[in-house]
Amino acid sequence: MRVIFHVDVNSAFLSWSAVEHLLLGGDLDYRTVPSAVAKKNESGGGIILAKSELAKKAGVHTGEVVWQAKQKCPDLLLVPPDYPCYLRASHAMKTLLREYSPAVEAFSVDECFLDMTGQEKFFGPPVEAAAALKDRIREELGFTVNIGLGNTKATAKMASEFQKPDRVHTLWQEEIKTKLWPQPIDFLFMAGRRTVEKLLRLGVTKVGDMAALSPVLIKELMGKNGVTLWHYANGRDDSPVLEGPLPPPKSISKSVTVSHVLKTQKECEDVLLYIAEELSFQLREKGLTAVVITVALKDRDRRYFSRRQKFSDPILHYKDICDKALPLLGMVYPRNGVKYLCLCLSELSAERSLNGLLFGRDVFKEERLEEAVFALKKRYGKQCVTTARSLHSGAEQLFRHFDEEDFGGGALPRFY
Amino acid sequence: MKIKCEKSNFLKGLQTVAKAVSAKNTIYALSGILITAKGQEMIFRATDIEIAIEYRDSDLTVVEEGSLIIPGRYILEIAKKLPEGEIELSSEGYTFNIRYGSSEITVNGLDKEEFPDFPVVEGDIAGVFSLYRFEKDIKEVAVAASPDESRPLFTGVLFEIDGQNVNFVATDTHRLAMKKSSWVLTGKENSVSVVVPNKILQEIIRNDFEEDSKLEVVIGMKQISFRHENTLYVSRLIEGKFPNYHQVIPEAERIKAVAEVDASYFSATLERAFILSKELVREHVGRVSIALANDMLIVDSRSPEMGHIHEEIPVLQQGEDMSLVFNARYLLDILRVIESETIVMRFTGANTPLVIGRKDDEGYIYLALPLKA
Repeated sequence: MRVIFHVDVNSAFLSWSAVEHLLLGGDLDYRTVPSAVAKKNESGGGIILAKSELAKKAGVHTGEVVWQAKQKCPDLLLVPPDYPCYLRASHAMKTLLREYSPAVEAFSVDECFLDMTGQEKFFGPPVEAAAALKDRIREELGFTVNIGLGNTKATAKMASEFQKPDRVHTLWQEEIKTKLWPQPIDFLFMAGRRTVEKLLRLGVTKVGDMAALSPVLIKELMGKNGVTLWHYANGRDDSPVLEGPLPPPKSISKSVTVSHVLKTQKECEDVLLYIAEELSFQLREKGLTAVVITVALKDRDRRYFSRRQKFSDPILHYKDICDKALPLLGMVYPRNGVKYLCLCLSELSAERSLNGLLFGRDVFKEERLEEAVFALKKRYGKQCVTTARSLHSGAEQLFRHFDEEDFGGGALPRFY
Repeated sequence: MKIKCEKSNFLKGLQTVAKAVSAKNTIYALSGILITAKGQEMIFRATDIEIAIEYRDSDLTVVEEGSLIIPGRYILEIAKKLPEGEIELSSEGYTFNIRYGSSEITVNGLDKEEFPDFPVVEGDIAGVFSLYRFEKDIKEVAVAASPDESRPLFTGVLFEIDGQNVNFVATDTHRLAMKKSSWVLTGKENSVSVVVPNKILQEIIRNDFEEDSKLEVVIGMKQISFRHENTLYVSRLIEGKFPNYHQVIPEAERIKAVAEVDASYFSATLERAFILSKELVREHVGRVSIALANDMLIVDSRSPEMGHIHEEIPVLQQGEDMSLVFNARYLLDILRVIESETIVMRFTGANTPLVIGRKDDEGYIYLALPLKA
């Protein structure tokens, strides 16, 4: 039996913003008042990203629009998100966790799995070790976490979802019947909204109901993912805690959902070109080339369309991506406007050898230009140089408040 | 319709036209093969709009005339698995029957009216190739064509016709192959350039041919037809202006070094080097470095993870020592099809084309750009 810890930061963004505020000399601890981290969107509305315990008591939900939250809780304090700060905090926590186990998997920016199997020798019984770890994070880093203990990743993750904040919970194999099965079905790990709706229609209201179903029936009704859920409901999950750096990416992509639809193909092209610029930067940063380009979009009625094409020559240059993506957009562009747009580069490879062309363009000249642009962006920020079209199209505005998608970027000074 | 024939006749007809059966069946009839019994002939036809193939067989007995579209891929699979011997093909309404021994297969067909008219190519540019030579010429040239459908012009072979002379040229923009050839005019004296899709050419040269085989060609405004014995191939021509390829062929004074190499020896070396150099994700790129010095051609390839290979091949060297980096694929492709025991490599520099030719035939050149050193 393995021993897995799941460490989950309580109200991560809000806690981290609060700590940062205090560190910079602020008097108010956001966590002691009804407060929320909210992202402004381009129409001036905004979405709640994280909230304090007091805001939660007032009925504020994550993902809610700001004005709705304000109605429930008029004196709600709004804090803008500070992604670089969250990255630093996340990094600091992971560094600390690595002292406890060689196998630390960053599951998201504010969650980690630790494989603590056999670590009793060093840190004592699991529950005591977890309590000490939780206290140490609070003392050293200034924010609270929940730690869930289980024999699998799924059970550990669910254990950390029990009462919050600043708690250690267990969900060992022998506790599944008493602690997990009475929970409502939406408590189950990886059960999304659609799945839960489907299960409720089938009369499955508790995790225990799910566990009692026949896997054959589940496969029939819900496919392979249903069976995976059924295993989770029974406390089975053999996926390992993946340590070390993440495997190399299979694809890189960037997408945007706009609040107003993009009404013309030209507007979509502007956005696509902006994304292409970003992706060509990422390709070069990672030292990769791609041979497959996919353009996907959702129209006004949220119908999904996509086109992909494979090319014989490796793609790396901004100009290449544009030349190849724009015709694909032309094939899928719907008449009624675009709500969501995505550009994806896949079948990546580290083969970067440039082969010259016998006719027309001088790819080596283009390579020197692209390399120079990359060097400038790397040194002075991505906004320091751009194409004239992107400068005037305003496409960049759409992304200004969505920069959590840039989460991996930038070497930032550490505060902790 | 009622026909008595050998299974092999039926299968041969289906296989000959199968390449033209549309894989994307937006028009259902195009996924079928039109079978017609008329006079003493059975005619097989298939088209995917881009290309069309017709095959006629008279080595059978037509009992009753008629015509029907049958589902292409199904019938081909069935025909492959039929027992050898005589079979009887018949149609009743829109169903198609295959009788063999005391057994019978019935499949649903489609009204012949659904099938598009078979294209007829007319034009006064016409001539006859020796198919035996055509096959070898096209093989040596088409290796340089691109598989990338996003640039249609480069997926074809240029036929540059000037009276009796025909130049075949293909390029994927990184490499280029050219062969000087000829045909016997049957139409008017003319000069014209057309780009023919590689797909139809590969289909025509799929078989081995006798030395006296003939290929009759008619070039129309938008289409080209090829006839070899009982088989007629029609294809649309690729539109667009083929780049001026003459400018990329280096003049004699730009040649800095020449080496004569044994093709099979060089090929074996490259095959070994390619295994180490190829990158697993993208199989068609393999970096090898090639150096020419002291009457030796030195091939090196290294992979950081796997290891490295070093080989030296004795050659006849003239001119300077050279060193360049190459995509091994570009060399292997040509070595696989070139009809010459000795190849002549002409070097122009580390970043300019390497020209490969046949020792016995000045009319053929293949050139490719090195990778950036």
